[in-house]
Amino acid sequence: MSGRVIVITSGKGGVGKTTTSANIGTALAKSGASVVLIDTDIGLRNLDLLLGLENRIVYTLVDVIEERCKLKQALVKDKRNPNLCLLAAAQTRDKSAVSQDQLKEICEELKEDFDFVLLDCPAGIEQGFQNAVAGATEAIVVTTPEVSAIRDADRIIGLLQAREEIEDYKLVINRVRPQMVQTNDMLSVDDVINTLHCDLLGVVPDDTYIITSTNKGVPAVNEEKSLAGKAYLNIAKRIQGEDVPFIDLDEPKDILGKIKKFFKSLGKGE
Amino acid sequence: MNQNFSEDAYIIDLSYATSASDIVFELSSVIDNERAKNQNIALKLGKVDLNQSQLLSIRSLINSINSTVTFLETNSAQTELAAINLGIVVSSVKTTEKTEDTTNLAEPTLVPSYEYVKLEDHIDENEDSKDDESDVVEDTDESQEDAAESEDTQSEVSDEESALKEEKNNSPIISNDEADEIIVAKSEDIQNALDNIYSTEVKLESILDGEVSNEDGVISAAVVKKAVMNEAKYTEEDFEIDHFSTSYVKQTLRSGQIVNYDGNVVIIGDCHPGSEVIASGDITVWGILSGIAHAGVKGNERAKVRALKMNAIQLRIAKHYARKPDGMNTIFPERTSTFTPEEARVVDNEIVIFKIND
Repeated sequence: MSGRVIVITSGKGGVGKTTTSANIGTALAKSGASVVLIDTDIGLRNLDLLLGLENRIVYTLVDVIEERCKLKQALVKDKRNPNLCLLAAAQTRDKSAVSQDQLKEICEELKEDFDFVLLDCPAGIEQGFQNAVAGATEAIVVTTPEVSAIRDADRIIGLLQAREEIEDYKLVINRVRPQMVQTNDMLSVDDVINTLHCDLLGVVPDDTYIITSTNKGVPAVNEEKSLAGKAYLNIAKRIQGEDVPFIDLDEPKDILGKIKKFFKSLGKGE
Repeated sequence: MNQNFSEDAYIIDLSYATSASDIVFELSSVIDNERAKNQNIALKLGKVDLNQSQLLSIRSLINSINSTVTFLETNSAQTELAAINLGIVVSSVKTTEKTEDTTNLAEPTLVPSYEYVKLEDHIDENEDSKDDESDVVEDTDESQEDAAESEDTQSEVSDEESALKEEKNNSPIISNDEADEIIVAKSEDIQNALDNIYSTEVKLESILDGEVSNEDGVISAAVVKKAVMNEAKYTEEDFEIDHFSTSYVKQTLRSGQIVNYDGNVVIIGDCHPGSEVIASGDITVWGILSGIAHAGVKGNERAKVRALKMNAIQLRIAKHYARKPDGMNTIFPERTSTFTPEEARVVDNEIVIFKIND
């Protein structure tokens, strides 16, 4: 068996790489695929917190590389989903503890046992990014509808194109606020795609539940009510080759809004 | 049926239970019963073998409803020994005549005042020398010679060690329940038995937390106990730790910072989550311990971890490993001025956290 190795990157910090990794990983595992998440953000690890696995980590990526333990020993099984494993980053080291070849080797090894190997990339384009991308053959670029994030995403896409081993890269637009888009206060999904000229993998709405889920250590895809969770589930399906329509983010939640929209559409019809 | 059942004791008969998890299951249903609250509890256990840490868990479960275990009846020699070590009045069904002396060891909050004085006398003697301590245990049950085993090294006991020893009380155990990926030498059976206890422990912790925040005095009064324990027998490993050199770290450890020292470490400050303290001897944190602490890293199982507030994400002592229970991570860190000094050490191959009272 040879699994797919996907790096989740963005260039800019704080756009939701780690949240996206945790949610896509959990969503893929929920669908029955075996998934391993690798946190490559050595020294600033967060992925374990989002999955609620912080208290289970004994060995880390750096321990594996420095041969203090076997790879299997360092994999932490998720407490909810047995298909999902985490390979945590060391908190007490820095990015120079890992080299590109070493990470590549680990990815090759994990590829044999898992359907998906997801790499959570650190922010920036320095060694941490280079390490994370080295092992991957596919990339997911996360961005938000902000000029700065889009600029950084553009830079990242350029770097990914320059790498021969990256066969495919797709875009996830995070934290979209449909109401702000409607009032022209935020760039729309189309604007972003027109700027970046990149295939769209999914659009994730801004959702307050993401904040609670981060604090609780439970990814949003486990919460049915969460719209962001639903969007991540759809992204996971698209990664697995299913054709899923994009969620209509303009859909108002309350009844009054629905009535308003209905009359609006009548008005347009006339 | 037995003179040691005091008149107002609430008898819980669990003699039909076949495993530790049965007992905990039954007990957790008893907790909901109003009548069991604020009572002296007489526990009747059957043939189940309980070790000290399991018994501690059961006792803390009962403590959570403001009740106290005053008497225990068991068929198992192991349980009996564990109970004696915890200072619970015990009667083995086979040898009921031997229970007379054990009244001396009853817990101070429950026995009549004259016996309370007696107990204090014992404690005072113990502070002087460890040999008295073993005598006390011998009195309680002569059939348990292991418990009363006297050692040559005992004369070398330090005052500090012996003062610490009496004033321990259990608090919920953090144990390693599903560490599939982690190599820790563990017996499967203990593991399974404790898994169940463990789930109730978490519940208990939340009960405790809630009550403390409501009314500070209540729980601490119920929890404060003095039990004579032979656990603190002074061994060569203890001697080794007492003579390690000690390093003082006078700063707060932040995420990603490591203190690694061959000897004892004292941190004057907090240890934030993500920090690590590794020492071949004891670790003492004069502050809140929220990171990882690994004491006795070279294999000394007598090493201990102490903190003014124990909030560690993981505790490791020698080869043993315990982690913070899931679901205990509150969104907002608990801000409180009341510290509950605690000490973690290895009891029966499990890391157990004890309260250091006063």
